[in-house]
Amino acid sequence: MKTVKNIMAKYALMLIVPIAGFLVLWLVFPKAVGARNIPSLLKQAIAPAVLGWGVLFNMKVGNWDFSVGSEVLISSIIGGNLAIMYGLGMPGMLVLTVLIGLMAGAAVGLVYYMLKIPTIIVSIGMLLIYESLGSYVFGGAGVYIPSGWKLLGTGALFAIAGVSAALSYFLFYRSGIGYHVRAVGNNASVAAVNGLNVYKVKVFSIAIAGMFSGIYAMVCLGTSGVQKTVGSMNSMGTCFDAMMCVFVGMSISRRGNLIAGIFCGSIVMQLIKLCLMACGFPSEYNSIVIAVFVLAFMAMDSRARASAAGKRKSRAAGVA
Amino acid sequence: MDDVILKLHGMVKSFGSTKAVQDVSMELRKGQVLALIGENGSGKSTLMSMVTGTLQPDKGRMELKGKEYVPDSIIAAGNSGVCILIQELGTIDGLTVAENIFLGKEKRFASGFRVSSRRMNQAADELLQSMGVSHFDAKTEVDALSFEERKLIEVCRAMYNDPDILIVDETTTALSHTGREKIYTIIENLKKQQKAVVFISHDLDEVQKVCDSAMILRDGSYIGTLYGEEVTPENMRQMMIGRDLSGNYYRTKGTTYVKEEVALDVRNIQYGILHDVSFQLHRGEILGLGGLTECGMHELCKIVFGAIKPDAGEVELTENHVKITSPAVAIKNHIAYLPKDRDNESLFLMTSIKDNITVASMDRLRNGPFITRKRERDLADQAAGQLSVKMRDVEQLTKELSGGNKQKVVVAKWMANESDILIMDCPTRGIDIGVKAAIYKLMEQLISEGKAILMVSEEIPELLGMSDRILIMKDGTINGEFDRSEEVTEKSLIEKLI
Repeated sequence: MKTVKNIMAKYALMLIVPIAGFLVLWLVFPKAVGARNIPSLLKQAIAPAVLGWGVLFNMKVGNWDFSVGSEVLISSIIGGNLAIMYGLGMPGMLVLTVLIGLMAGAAVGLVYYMLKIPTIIVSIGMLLIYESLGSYVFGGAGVYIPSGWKLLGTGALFAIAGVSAALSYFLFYRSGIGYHVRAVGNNASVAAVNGLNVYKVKVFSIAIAGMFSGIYAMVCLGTSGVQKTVGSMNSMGTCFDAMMCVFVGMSISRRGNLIAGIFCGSIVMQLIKLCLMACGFPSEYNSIVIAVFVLAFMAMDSRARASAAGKRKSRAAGVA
Repeated sequence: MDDVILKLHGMVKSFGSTKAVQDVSMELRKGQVLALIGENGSGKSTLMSMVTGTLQPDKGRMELKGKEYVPDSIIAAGNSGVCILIQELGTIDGLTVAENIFLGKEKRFASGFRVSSRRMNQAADELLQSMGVSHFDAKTEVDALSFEERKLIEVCRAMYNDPDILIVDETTTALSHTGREKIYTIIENLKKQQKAVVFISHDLDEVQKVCDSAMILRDGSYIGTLYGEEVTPENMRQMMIGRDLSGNYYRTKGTTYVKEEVALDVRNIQYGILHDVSFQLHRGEILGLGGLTECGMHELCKIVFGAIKPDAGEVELTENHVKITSPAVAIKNHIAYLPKDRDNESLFLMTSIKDNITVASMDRLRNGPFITRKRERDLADQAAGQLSVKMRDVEQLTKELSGGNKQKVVVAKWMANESDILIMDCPTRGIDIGVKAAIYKLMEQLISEGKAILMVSEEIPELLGMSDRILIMKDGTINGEFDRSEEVTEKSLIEKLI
């Protein structure tokens, strides 16, 4: 009974928020929203969630890594073009994008480790380099994968999401590095006193985020079939989408599973977009509305957490 | 000679021009419980930091069990069998009890990349059981535990290494009676197992109770060692200070400056464990507030200062009927707050003494939109001088000061702001008797000037010695009130406290 109660406490909010949100939209906009939207909502939530599962590691340890979007860019362009060049097909492209994403992330991490300057500076510097690299390699044409490779139907997409979620769960909750990430994220100084190399943990987090950039690149290429070159720091927006999923996911998962929370967070973000569409909001205002929503959500969450922490402290005092 | 576990030869450590440890040698034997005592800044922590590898000596060498010992980190020391329990909290929120115990040692439960939480939990549960902990288990998240329970986790972490030497660095200061007893039992068990303990504490009665010998340091130099019956508070005090303090540094009985006028009115406070707490603080009064560590008294201090918003109730300055709703309102109305955790809540350790002293007085220093450096410096010099802070000058970084001198800086900050009401949460926590005496003297001087002090203390003699009136809190309510009198004894307070 206690276990059921614990599970309910951990997962109730993360399920209630997207379900209640969807039901409210259905009630308010019965013509625009209905059960038919559910499959596409879930499908659209996959890509940001995949990137969010990687960005989670960075956000947990306090890295501000804005290079993630540019890592997506070069993994798509280099991985996709190499796969086409050598006729490796979809599986080969998957391996290459993930590998290049991992290498790009590791390179950002190494630069950070060597220079020991804030991640925000390192990541913006590397973002500029990666964007330029993307515009230079393969004639600056980006990548257009053969139409036959666009095989990412719903089944394949969900399979990739499942594997990514399992990988992120394993790394975050079951591996040594995930254990270190959670320790450093919650108290870096105590972690350091206990022998953890905080810099190393931060570097690994950046590399893991890079690996998930590769998976995200694959998901995007597999669905759209194209990746154009990007400059002027425009790739930065990609990581904000993922960060918002993580913010919302962290809020609604409370003490529950963060990986599931991030997917639910991604669904919530899609619901907001659906709501804006149903309201007939011009798409250029989408970012403003989403940003306002996230700020309001975080403010409410912050107050709720402070109050819960106070209650927990009182409970602990009562026990003592 | 075989029973010597640790030998230190001519240890020297300097920080800039400050000689923290000067040519100190020491021997620690199997089964010995050695107290390391001295005033703040005497070099105890520096010496032990070298033993645990967090600082490297400038000169000198160490031998552990007859072999050269050169630890380069606290982990290396732990692996060599030298473990330390620190004063502050060393556990991490968001992790379970097991994850905290085995932090940095999770490879022992790993196969490949995977860490087996089942095996880790099992090992942690066994360890908790062996320590007699039964009210929480390995899977409990530490966020749900009290300060004392979390300290026990740190003890488990240290004991898992099966240390030959355990250093207890002022750990007991923050613990209640029960928590202290648990540490004493562990020390006793280690002694029986022929392991050695270095015990650092400012509580000389506790040292007498726990230790069989006491090594005294003063200004970084070795003064002497007391053995067996010689370990008495009087002997230790004499050697620590190098002058006779004649035992009593509290207020003289019979002197009172309490006025009828109420300075602060605290009404019906509700917050967390606190339930309907009301009291009045008079001008010229030291109102003592005592209780067990987690009875709610520390939260009450923050509420009175406006740092925590209560669920119900209010705090009012009677003179102008201003409600204290935030620290900004409190500071504007000359209310000062000295928190228990001074390093984290009261000081900017990485900035200068001057910046720390003047931070609450910016309005006084401001001349239009400008603050002149000279006025700032003069105010800091004056306040630091008044409190006799031991420093190079007011530009010195605050982190370089000893605990007692840091506390003097906190007091100086509020003196500079001409505070009328002082909320002092454990004002002498972790500081030596020399500074303690100076703070007590200052408190008496302040009340003689008509200022009011709310003093929270976890030390009963301090409450009895300093307060005009004592409120005892239990489980978030006021459980007893005592006026200053010869008839009020430690026993009468304890009866209301537990």
